[in-house]
Amino acid sequence: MEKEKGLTTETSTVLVVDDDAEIAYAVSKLLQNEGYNTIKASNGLEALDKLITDKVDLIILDIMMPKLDGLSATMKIRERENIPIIILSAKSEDSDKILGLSIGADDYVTKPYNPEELLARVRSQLRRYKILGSGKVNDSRNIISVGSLTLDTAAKSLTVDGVKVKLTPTEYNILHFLMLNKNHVFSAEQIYSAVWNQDSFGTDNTVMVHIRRIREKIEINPREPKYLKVVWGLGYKIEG
Amino acid sequence: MDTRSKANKNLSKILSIISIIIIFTGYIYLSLSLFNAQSILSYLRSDNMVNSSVHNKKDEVFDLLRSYCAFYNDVRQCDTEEEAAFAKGELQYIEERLNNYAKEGYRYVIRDSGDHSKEIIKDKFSGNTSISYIYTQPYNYGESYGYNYIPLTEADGTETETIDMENTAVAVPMEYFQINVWLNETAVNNILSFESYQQQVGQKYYGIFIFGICTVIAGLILSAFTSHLRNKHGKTEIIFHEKIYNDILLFVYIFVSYFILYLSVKLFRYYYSYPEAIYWLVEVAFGVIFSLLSYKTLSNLTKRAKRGELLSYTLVGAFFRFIKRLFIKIWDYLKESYRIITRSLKSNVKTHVIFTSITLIFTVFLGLGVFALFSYLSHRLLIGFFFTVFYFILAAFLITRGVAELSTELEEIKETTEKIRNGELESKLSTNMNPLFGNLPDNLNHIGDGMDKAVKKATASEKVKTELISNVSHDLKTPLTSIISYIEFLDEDESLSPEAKDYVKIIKQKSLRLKNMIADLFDLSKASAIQEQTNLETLGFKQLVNQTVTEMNDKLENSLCPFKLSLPETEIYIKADGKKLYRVLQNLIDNAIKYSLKGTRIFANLYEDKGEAVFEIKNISAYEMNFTSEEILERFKRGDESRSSEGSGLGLSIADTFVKNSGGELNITIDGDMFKAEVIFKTVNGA
Repeated sequence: MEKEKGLTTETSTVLVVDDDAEIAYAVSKLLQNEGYNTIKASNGLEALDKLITDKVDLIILDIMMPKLDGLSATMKIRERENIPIIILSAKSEDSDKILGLSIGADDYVTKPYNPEELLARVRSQLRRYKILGSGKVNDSRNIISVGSLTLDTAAKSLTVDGVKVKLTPTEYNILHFLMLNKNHVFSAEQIYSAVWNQDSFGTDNTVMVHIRRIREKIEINPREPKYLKVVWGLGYKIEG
Repeated sequence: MDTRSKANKNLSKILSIISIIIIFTGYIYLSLSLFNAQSILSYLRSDNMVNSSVHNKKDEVFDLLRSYCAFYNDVRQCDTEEEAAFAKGELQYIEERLNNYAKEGYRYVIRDSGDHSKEIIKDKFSGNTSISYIYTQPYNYGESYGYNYIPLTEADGTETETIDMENTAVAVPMEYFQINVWLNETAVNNILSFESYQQQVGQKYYGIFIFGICTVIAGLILSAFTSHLRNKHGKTEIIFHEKIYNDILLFVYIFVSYFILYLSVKLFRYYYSYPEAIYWLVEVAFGVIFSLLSYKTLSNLTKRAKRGELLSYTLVGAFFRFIKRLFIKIWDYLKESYRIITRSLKSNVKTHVIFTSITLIFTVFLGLGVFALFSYLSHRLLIGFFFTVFYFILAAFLITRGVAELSTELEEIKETTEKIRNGELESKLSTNMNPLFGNLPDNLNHIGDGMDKAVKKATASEKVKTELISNVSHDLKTPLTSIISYIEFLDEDESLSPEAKDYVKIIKQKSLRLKNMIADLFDLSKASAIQEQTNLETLGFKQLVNQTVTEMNDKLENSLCPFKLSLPETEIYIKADGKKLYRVLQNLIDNAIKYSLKGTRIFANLYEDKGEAVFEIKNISAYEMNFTSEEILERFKRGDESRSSEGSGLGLSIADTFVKNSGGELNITIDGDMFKAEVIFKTVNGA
């Protein structure tokens, strides 16, 4: 944690927008404990004002708010700002998440949130925004990237949001295969025969165990993976 | 504008009155000319003018001669003396009168075929004769008879030749009288002069007659013109009494006119019987009737002409239209029948095709029978053919079409009931079905409507419930977020006493459980809503079980109950919603871990049985299960009624709802302390 903090050259400022003052305070407190500066706003309009007066690096935004709701605020902010937006909402349905992410939010966390998870996501977004930024990506031929996953095929190494992640050779091969064919669903048997170059004989769940480990390494919340997704009864895929 | 149309109105009024007057005048002329000619002719012919009526004298002579023959016969055949004497007296009287006529230039000969006829016939009339008549009377009435006038035309005033009876073409009875009448010059001249006189009279009144007709026609033209003028500026509406067909109107008009003329002419036969005033009164009345009728008829006809209905609005036209419509109807009926029958024959439904074709073959054979029968009865093939055509139009098409329609409608009923059964409650039967079905379509539609309403109502109330639960769960989450957040801060607070730290731990645990319960509640309410989308696809059940078990690996390893999984060699494919089925399996395994007696084994087994994929999980309960398998599926029912342990109590309910939504089945069996859950899906062919 000390090391990750070191990555930020200066203290980042997070705008916390929630009409429930206690939640806004709790989130701010959580972030302040981690060394971030925080600004609070109680609705979308106030958030837009704060964006003009203060320098903000990241926004945590509730959806259901008076005056201007979170989704509209997101769209308004996206008209002129490129800063990361994390939606923090009690709306937990898939359709809500898809809507939020498609109109310009970078991440979606449901209430009641897990403090550790929220912090991890904030860190991840800030890293991406500050260090990788725009156009800083190494455009070598040896690089395969999906979202914030970057696979260097020459060095056989993986970075997530710029942070290096250690993988075993098998894990690397599986991830390599899936990232090469992103959005394509492969059954465990197909992955096995592609990575091991031999047929699997049914009952083996080696692939699944490996994939679960990979997920624990690359995903912030392995139960709700962002990249390496389980397609139940069909297999796995890298989504990007 | 107003004054102009008013002027036009007045003008047409005046014109119509004028035309009526003209027609009236024409009529008077007409009837007078006819009356005069008629009355003069009949006057000339009447008895008291017999001297001048030479022409009639010929007939009189013949009348007398006929009576003479009759009495002559009586004389020869009568029984008593008195009768004979009476007949002889009559004969004498007739002879006297005949002699009088002879003086005027008539010469007659009576010939009796019985005796001295030849001498009599040779006794010729000497003189310049131009016309002669012969009258033959049968001598004996009981036998065949016949009489003829045989006019003998003379060439140029030479003597009349003897009539040679043997050479005449007339069939003459064996015994007969023959009366010959010759006319001398005086008589002939008299006849000729009468005819010329007749002509003169005729010519005189002919002129008046023509004038009368011309006047009437002129009046008719004027009235036609007048009504045309009125039609031009006014309405051409047809009022009640004008709704008679044109041809009938014309016929009635002509008939009535003729009848009036005839009556008025006949009336003058009795001219002398009435005072003159009455005659004129009647004459004027007839004239008024005729002229008004003419005017009305003309104006009606011009109205019809204006509307273009002169020819079409006739009885003949109506009749032809009726015939045409009839033929079109028959043609349409035949076409429709043909369409229905061919459609039925091309139908995909076998019974349909069989029914229709059997009926078709049957009716065709029956048609051959009709042909044979009528040809035999009438001895003419053409009549047989005619009846066969008639039969085909009336019966064969009707029967086959009826069967085709009936089977089509039966098919429709079958399809609709099938649809309603499958949940398409809006499906309706057409209500104009064969009366054989009675109220069936109506009743079925009503049942469908009722069910549709009930289902919609249920869906609506379910939706309201779901919305309520989802709103409540959202409202619960907001305060819970604060609780969990602040407990986290407390938890990290080092300054708390050890006791307080324990309390905080308990609060943290329970609040997390509350969080899970709310999430489950929300999931269940969503799943119960009928309209919730399920994403069915073909997937590998074995792979899914494997994935689930892998995901839950930590939990399984940490539990004190060994997990025994047995899977088939090959993949089993089913159609289901993968994400939901994962939740189902997860819940079942979770349940087994939670409620199993420590140290007992949990057995999970996936196998295929008769086209069904079955995933079963068995465990030994740590608690006594004092509930039935039905009760456990009810929401909030739980194995341990104390509800002290973790879990929301909704796991099995959610599993049940999800499995049902995906088209599968969840069976729970409780046998003592053994709890068994089976998830059953129909297998499908591999993807």
